[in-house]
Amino acid sequence: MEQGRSRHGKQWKRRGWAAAALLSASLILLVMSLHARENGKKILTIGVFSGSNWDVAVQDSYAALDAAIEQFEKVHPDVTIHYDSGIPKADYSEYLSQKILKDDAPDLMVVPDDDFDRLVRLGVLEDLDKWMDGGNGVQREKYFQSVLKTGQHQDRQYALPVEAMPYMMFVNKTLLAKELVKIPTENFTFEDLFDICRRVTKDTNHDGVPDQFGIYKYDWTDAAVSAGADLFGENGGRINLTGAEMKQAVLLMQKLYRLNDGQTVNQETFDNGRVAFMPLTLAEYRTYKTYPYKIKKYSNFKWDVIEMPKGPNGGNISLVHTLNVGMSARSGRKKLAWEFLKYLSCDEDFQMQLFKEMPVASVLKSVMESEDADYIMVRDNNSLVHAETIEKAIETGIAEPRFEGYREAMQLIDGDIRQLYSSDAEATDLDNALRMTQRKVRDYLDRSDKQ
Amino acid sequence: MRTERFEKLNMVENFLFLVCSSTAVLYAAFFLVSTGRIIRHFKAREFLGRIDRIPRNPKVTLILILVLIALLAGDFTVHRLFSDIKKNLSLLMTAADLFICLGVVILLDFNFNGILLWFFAVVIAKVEGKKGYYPIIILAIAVYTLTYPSVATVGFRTYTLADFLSTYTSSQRSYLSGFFNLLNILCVVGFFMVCALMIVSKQRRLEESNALADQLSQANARLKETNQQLEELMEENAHMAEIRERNRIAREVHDTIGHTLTGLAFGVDACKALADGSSRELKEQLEILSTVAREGIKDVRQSVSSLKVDDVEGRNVIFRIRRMLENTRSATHTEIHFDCRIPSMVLDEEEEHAIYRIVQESVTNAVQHGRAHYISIQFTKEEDQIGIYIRDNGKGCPHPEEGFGLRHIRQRVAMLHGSIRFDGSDGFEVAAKIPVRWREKQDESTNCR
Repeated sequence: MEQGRSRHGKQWKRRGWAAAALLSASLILLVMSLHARENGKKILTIGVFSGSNWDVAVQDSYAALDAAIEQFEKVHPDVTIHYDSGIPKADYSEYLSQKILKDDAPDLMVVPDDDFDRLVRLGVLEDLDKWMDGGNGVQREKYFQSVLKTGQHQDRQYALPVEAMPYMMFVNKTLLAKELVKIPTENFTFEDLFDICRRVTKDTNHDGVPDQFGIYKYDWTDAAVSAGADLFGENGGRINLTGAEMKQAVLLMQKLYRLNDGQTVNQETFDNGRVAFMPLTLAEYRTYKTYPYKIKKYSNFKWDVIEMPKGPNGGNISLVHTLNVGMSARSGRKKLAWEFLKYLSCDEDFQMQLFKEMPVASVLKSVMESEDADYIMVRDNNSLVHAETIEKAIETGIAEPRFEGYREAMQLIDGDIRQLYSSDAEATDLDNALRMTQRKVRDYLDRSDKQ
Repeated sequence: MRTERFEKLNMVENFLFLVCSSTAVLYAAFFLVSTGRIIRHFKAREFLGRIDRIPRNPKVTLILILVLIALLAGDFTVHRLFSDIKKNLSLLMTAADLFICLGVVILLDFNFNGILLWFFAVVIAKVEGKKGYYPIIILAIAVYTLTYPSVATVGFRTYTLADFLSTYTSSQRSYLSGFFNLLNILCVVGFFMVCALMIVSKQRRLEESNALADQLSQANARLKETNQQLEELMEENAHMAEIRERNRIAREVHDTIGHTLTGLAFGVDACKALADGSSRELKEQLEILSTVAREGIKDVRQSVSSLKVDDVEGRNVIFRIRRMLENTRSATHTEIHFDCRIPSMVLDEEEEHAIYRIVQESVTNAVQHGRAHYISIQFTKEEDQIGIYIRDNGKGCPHPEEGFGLRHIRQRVAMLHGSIRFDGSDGFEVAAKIPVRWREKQDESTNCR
């Protein structure tokens, strides 16, 4: 019996060893499979969408990326960079979410604005501060600060900007000339804007309703930014809708709204050259000022862009949007990923190339300040706008706040304010109404505990 | 009995392991399947908005959990097969088990910690001694509480089963959540079953040891009683040996000196007759010798009679039996009928003693064990045997267990080439037959008077 048991024991021992060997072999295989290689090359993946982030037509949306990859692979011959092409911008967020859920997140990924906070909260994005400050880091001063800020969450950098996008004011030069209005090039104020709008708003065909308008697509958010209103403070910690700046913005919107006498301005009216102003992204400007789009759009009148109008306490500034790229926190090749991210974001040559080929602004000050940039702007666009103007717009521009619940809070405010300026509310009612909206939004943010 | 209980405990432990490990695997599998479903239904973005942390790679998680469960099962089996495993190694393996269980809990991001119930059930079942229980129980409570879903995740963000469930339709959701709740409940039930079995087993062990102690004390008492009887018998035997020796000496004296003296007295008397005409001095001298001889005979008789002690109390065995019966009657109020139908006879000591012992043991048994109120005793003469029949109306004993007393009687009877049988079916009956030589002698006879 005793003997039988010990023989039994030996057998078990042998089986135990076999199991341990099998286990370690499978673990090694697993680890190896995580570090996939192709033809002995290290694979780096990047998540991008096709087309422009700025809703303008581009001929080859991957051209700049392909160039960057080619350049990078030349410097790092043991690396090959992959991306899935053909994912429309509208589907990109779902595509990225699926990749993340499958634990197959690309090493680097374009971070959609709406997903930035979520991805930070979920820990998908690597905290880049330690990479930026490390020996192989980047100088933060090279960036426009407003631009760099768009990749931050609670003062930590989670993504680096690759493209910057300021807003400008489109101006219909033909219409203003017809109405004998001088184009306001400097120190453009709310008052100037309202004055010009008042002068151009007319019933030209005498059917009793105005058919020529002052402004289109101009929003209270645009007005609030250039009025100098700070709605959410740092990271949405404090909401302030009752300041004088906010009130100035709302009053301007109310006045502009009343000019139109209940008529809605649409894109067709604008395209027909019967609207004087429209806010415009740099992308739209650069696209529609150059061939071949130049002849397709806005071709029946002369136009150009100027700065945004400023409020009494504000500046000629607008929001600045960016295209950010982040690194996956679960990437197996972070060092390499950082190298490529650094190349995309702050390699001056690449940024210059990007500025040249894409209708965007560079995120680097040195690029926008260069003579080459100015040459590109003036030559290509044949316009009033120098690179310097764009640089100023970015430099002084405001990064949209980044905190979870921002979109929802903005929607709440937007609904209330639209109702407010389309109503007959007097200035005194305005204070009360704004206060009530402020309370509502604060309740929402407190409840969702997301700031 | 004991092994049967162990088997039951082992069975419940196996059941608990099966439930807990398969639940862990089912959780991981559910996460994997749900992830696939979310992706197929293009709900990934919506799902990410709901959860607070990205789950680990669901495939890798499932594989790792399967590996960990296999390790646990291996450990469990080794423990089960080799109960004589070294204590240090066993402790090490148990600690490893704990870490593996925690690994499973962490892999499932604290959504399921039932596997710890299995671990602690096994540990608690294995712990010996009262002292070991408290630290184990405190550890168990602490670890189980701290890893409990929604307790463990206080303060840091993660995802829950509910997040995955919410991607299903409401009817699917209710079935699935019912299913997972059922699994959780099964784990808890299994744990309580192990604990209950432990308590029952402890209780039984206590009862068993109590019963054993009772048996031991009973056996002790019996041994004491037997010892006492043995001592009495030894004393009696010694006494008997003494008596026998004295009787032998008396017989020797009687047969040799007594005979010589008698011869001598008759010789002297003859001499006296022959010397009728002789001198007066001779006659006188012969007369004196005759007187001395007769005096000597008388002295010898006296010595012999004082040496002979077979009726120590001065009477024969029947007399002693009657007196013993009388004593018993008066002490216990038992009605005893003694019917002696044997003619007077001479018995040797062994025979007398055997008869006395038979009666004494039977009466004692009848009174003490049978609780009899009536005893009848009959002595009969049957050819060259004496028959002894003793019957009582007590409880009897269908299968009389021969104690010291009965065995002793049987031996004595066997020594005398007699026979004896006991019958306890209706009251208790002793029937003995002892062969005797029917010697009749006037002065040393045994009769019924």
